[in-house]
Amino acid sequence: MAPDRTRQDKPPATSPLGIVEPQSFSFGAPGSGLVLDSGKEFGPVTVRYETYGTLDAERSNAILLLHAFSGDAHAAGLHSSTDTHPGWWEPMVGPGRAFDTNKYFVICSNTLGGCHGTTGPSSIDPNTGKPYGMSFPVVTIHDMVKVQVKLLDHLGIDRLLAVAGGSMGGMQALEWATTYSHRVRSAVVLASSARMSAQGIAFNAVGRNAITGDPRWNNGDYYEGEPPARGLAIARMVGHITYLSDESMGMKFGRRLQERDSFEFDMEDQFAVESYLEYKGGTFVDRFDANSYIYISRAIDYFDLADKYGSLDAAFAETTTKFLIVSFTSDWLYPPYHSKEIVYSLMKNGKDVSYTEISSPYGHDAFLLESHRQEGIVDAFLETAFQQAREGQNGARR
Amino acid sequence: MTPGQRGGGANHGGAASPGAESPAGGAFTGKPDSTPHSTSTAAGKPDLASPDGCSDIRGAGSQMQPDPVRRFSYDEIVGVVPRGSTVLDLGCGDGELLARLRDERGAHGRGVDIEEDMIRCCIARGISVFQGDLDEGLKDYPSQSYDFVILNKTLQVVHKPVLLLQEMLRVGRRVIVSFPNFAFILNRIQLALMGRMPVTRTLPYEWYNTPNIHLCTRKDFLRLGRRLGFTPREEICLTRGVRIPPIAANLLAEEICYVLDGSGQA
Repeated sequence: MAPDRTRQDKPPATSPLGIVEPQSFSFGAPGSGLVLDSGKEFGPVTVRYETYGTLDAERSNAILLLHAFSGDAHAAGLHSSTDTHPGWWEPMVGPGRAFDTNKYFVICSNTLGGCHGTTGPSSIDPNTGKPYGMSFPVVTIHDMVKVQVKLLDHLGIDRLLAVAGGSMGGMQALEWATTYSHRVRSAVVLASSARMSAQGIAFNAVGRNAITGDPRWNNGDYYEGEPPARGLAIARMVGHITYLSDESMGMKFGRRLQERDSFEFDMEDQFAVESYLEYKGGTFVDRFDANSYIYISRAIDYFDLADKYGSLDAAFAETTTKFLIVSFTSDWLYPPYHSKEIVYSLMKNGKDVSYTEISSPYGHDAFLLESHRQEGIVDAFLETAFQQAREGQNGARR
Repeated sequence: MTPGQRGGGANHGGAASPGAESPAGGAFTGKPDSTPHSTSTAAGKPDLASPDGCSDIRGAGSQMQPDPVRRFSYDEIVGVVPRGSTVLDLGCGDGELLARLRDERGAHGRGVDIEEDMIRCCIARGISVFQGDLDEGLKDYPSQSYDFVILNKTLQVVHKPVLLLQEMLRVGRRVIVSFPNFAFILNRIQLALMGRMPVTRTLPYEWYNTPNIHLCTRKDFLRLGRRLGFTPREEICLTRGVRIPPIAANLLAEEICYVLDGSGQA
């Protein structure tokens, strides 16, 4: 993808879901509403979410989608008729798609600590009337899930048909399926892990350092001035490298130069891959908050189900959720062995789990790019869970 | 699978004949029942045996053909497994055997297969399945964790059959293993009289495209059993899908299915 092409004005996108309205829900009061893993009480919290499809009379067809690091509540559909991009999981969500909105009621909410409508460091602290900045409390993956639990209570949904997410969204799905297993029939976990690896933490640390090393960051207090755009762009560039693979970079860019046919041996020689990263970093700062980057990346680093429960086997001992775990061969940020570790532990516990390792050259990004490969598998998995849920209900009535 | 092959499947599209190219890199993908429809996602009506199977999956163009050879031993295996058993089926294909064991024997089954399309089929049947390579062994499966470990016509395609057998005997309290008997009379005739590598219903490949790298005879298998220290507790001999008495079985049985006791060793 040549950056100069993507910079051109795009025609409006289309979506079978048409225009969707983001919704909001708030709970808590200043200093209360949510007990965080740190022990701190926090509130109030506003949650931005979107829904697609219709909740059935038994309230048994709800699926919660869980976005990854830089995602948001806008999983599918358009926000306006001139929108150039549909939601981040458009190929998977809609009528007749894997998350079939003809059958299921699909919910996606922005995570706690984010910057797309759910309370985060850029939100206004009611005590000061200013953005929280670094006074925002440290949050964990479980804290994010606690907010989602509140949202479900608000929507009157006792038990989800499924939770589904990739990467950080997969971590949330795992948290749901362990800590709140009684409220989730099934979990789809894509390109994720039960614990962030040292390598993953290392890359997150570089990203955070890029931000905090930018003088404009100003200890997180930049909302009235210029944001640390350069630091955040570099953080995103590093992140992007970890989402791709040697093979996908080779295929996409090779050693091509961006503007020139041959080297001129001056500082203007720019490789295509450099240009791509610059572009990705540059567009990211328009839609993401640097402090959110710091908080969310820390939440990912903290995540460790084995540590929380004593061992991975202990973590899954009590779960009644049915699992579909998916990994991608070229994903080196969340490599397949991370997924297999989860699967083997579930199998040891005699749990219902299926695992597929999709052969893909696209690295970690594959979970967003290989929709057509996941679609059939996810669709089949959800359909079985849906049938079982219906049988269960009929059985209970009898 | 390379990106160029994704969604294309031209190499395999509609190729249900035994002469189709065997899939590259698949360690145990190439048993007679799964090779022809391996990575195919080409257009074409899925012709599926089971109404609750893959035909329900949107977009699945898997060229799954009813294959009588594959099912030869299913009835026998279903008969061997007691009600409520836990079963691990290695090289489970589309999960048909596990679905039968679940429906007819109330078994709690889990499958292992290497092919993405087969994984989808299993999931559509409600079968728990693990996409993996049997050549990596069963090291993450605890000892004696299943009542039955099944290897149905797959032994001959794995790279380390002895290791896999030992692992199966460790993981299962009982093991069911079936394989085509290479000493079957029709194979002998083709080799001895016609001087050609046998191509039959149970061995439907040419020498140059066969996934079968470790073929053995009944005698060979029993000899290996003596070396490894197991004696079959039950022997089922099949010819053209029909159970035959074990008389001159090395000559007359087309396919053999053994029930073995697990080694009970950690």
